[in-house]
Amino acid sequence: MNMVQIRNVVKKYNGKAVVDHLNLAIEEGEIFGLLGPNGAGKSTTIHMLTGLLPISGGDISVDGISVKHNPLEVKRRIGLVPQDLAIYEQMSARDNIVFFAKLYGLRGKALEAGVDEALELVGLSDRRKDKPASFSGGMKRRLNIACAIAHRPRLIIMDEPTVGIDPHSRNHILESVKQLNEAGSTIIYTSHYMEEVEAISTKVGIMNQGRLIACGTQHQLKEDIGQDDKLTVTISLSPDSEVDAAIGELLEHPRIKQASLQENALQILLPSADGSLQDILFILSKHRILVQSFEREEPNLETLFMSLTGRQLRD
Amino acid sequence: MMWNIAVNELRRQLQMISILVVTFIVPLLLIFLLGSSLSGSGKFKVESRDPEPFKAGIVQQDQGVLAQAFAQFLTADDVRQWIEPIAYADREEVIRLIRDGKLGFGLVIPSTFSDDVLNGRQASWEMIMGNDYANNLAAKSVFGAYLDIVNTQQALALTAEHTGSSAAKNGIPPAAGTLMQGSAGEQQNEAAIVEVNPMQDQPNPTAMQYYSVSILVMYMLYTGMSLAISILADRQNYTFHRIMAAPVRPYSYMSGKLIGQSLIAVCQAIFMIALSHWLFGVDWGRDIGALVIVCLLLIVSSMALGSVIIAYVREEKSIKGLFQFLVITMTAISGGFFPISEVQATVGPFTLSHWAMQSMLRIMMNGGWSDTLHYVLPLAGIAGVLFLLAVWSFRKVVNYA
Ligand SMILES: Nc1ncnc2c1ncn2[C@@H]1O[C@H](COP(=O)(O)OP(=O)(O)OP(=O)(O)O)[C@@H](O)[C@H]1O
Ligand SMILES: [Mg+2]
Repeated sequence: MNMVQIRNVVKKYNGKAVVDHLNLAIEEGEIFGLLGPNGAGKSTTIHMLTGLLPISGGDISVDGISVKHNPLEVKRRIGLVPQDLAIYEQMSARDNIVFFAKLYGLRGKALEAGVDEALELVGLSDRRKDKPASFSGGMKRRLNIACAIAHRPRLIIMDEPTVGIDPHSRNHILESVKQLNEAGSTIIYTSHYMEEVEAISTKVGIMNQGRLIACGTQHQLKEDIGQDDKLTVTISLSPDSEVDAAIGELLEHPRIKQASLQENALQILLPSADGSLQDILFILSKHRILVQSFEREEPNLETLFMSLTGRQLRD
Repeated sequence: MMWNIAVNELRRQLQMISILVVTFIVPLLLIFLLGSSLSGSGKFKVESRDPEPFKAGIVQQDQGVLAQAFAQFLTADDVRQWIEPIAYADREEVIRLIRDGKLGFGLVIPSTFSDDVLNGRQASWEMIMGNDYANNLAAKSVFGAYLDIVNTQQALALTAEHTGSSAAKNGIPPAAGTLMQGSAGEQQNEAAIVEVNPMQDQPNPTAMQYYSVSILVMYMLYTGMSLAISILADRQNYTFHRIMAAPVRPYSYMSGKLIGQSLIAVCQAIFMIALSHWLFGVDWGRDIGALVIVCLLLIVSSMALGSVIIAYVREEKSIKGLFQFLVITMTAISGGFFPISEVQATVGPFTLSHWAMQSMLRIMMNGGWSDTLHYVLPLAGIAGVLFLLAVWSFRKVVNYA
């Protein structure tokens, strides 16, 4: 059975659809990576899924239970790691976890065990008595996760759990996600870091402007979209008009799918194993653009996103 | 769920030293400073209550059968303990002496008094209030007791004769009628009460007592601010978000917050009352239960105010500013910083602190329920209205987004 079923869901703010007829099914046992740029509607979708925001249209069910009709039952099954840190700074790490676990009805031995396990998993066991005020950003992020998992939820939803943290904490968190999944939880993980999603997810959905524009296993997605390589050409300062003219000409080339300028690098998408490199160099030199370096990347989720939307995943 | 949130609220507040100091130590210091520095200002009673009986002028115009009984009543020890009766022929003279402070109280018994009693009419007389609140109270209860006895005996006598007694005609069974007249100060039906110097019929507390009351009232009025700030903090650090993502109903969240904060407020009240008593010898009167009720009404009002404010104001600075403005203004107007009779009498009644302070002062002076109720009821009314407003804005408080 599907753990999450989102049918035709719409969320409107002031008449503008922020989530636009979204359809999505997530199977039990999956680590589902939800990718999308800022403002794509990831958090909004998650808030509707957890019953925090009313749905403007459509329906969502979790574990077969409708969020609209039985929000408390749905909430009982979910552990939400909010995008923003949601912890009490003046309470010890352990007290924070205990307080939130109790809200899910955990008591006695189950509570003790759940709390210890959560502390262990995020690697904060030896800091359990300390207040988060003395923690590093990464430790706070890990505590933020621990507060959502002590009640052993069937579905764990993490909204960008790794923003702005050190590589050590990031790896620790990714490792924890895998462990939680192996212990039986279905996981939804949002991010705009495609490396993270590539590293851990079993399935990926890509959102843009409130719509799901691609969904499947990483393998399927790369197959479907075709084998586009990303070519990054770093150029030295050249007149804007010349660069624009060069891009225009590149886009007219029959095999080049995308071409855009990010700072001083031209991003170009072209089919793998394609011999159009000569043409590209020709066009650039014609417009007197000096090439400094040249890099060709195998297809990945980022190139996929670019070819779908013409935009970068991150600005 | 509700209790988890309440206990968490308590723990978090009590863990913070700065909050503890502000909640428990500062009010005591304020009482001490104001109470001791202003005790010589002439506005307050200096030493403790004088146990000497006071002079009461009696104008006996009744020549009937009950005149003898009343004279007998005045010689009783229970009466002499409080009152030294002096007979006068002229009502005007008594009023003049009271105004000059020569007499503490006046009683005028009309010539029809005995007749009224014998013919089954409600017997009544006229009480003239003196300058001292406590003396007036004592006189009202002493003479009221006599009037009660007379009226009750007459009612019982009539009931024994016919089934239709005067009380029963009014739809009140005689027993209930007796009970209703049993308390002091409830003689509005029978006794015309005359106040010679109305503004002087005030409780007469010491400075320490007065400021214990005003500071307690002021701090109880601030309790809603902690509630508002605590809810705001939950929103700002996203813990509200997390609590709402858990299987917790919005009203459980709100009740938990309210219970937690109210418990802190109650502890604060008990602490202030107990310590002001032990450290500064403040006499809070006998009726601690009534005192607790007034504190609870204040807490309900303040919490309700906090809930309404947090529904519309979403900035800590504004919440604090608004509360400070309201509490300080009300305290000043109701004479909480320094008694100002004119202001208290005119705009005072529009404030919560006026009714709370006057209730507490009367409780302190052991004024009896019926008298205190005149001040507690308006307070309860305001608390009720604020509570309804809070219920009405509840949705806006817990609205996510
Ligand atoms: N309360 C609101 N009122 C109006 N618009 C809103 C509201 N909340 C969100 N939006 C808009 O909805 C869109 C989607 O926001 P959302 O937070 O879901 O994006 P996101 O994919 O989570 O982005 P990010 O990666 O930055 O977290 C944004 O354009 C945002 O401006
Ligand atoms: Mg987001």
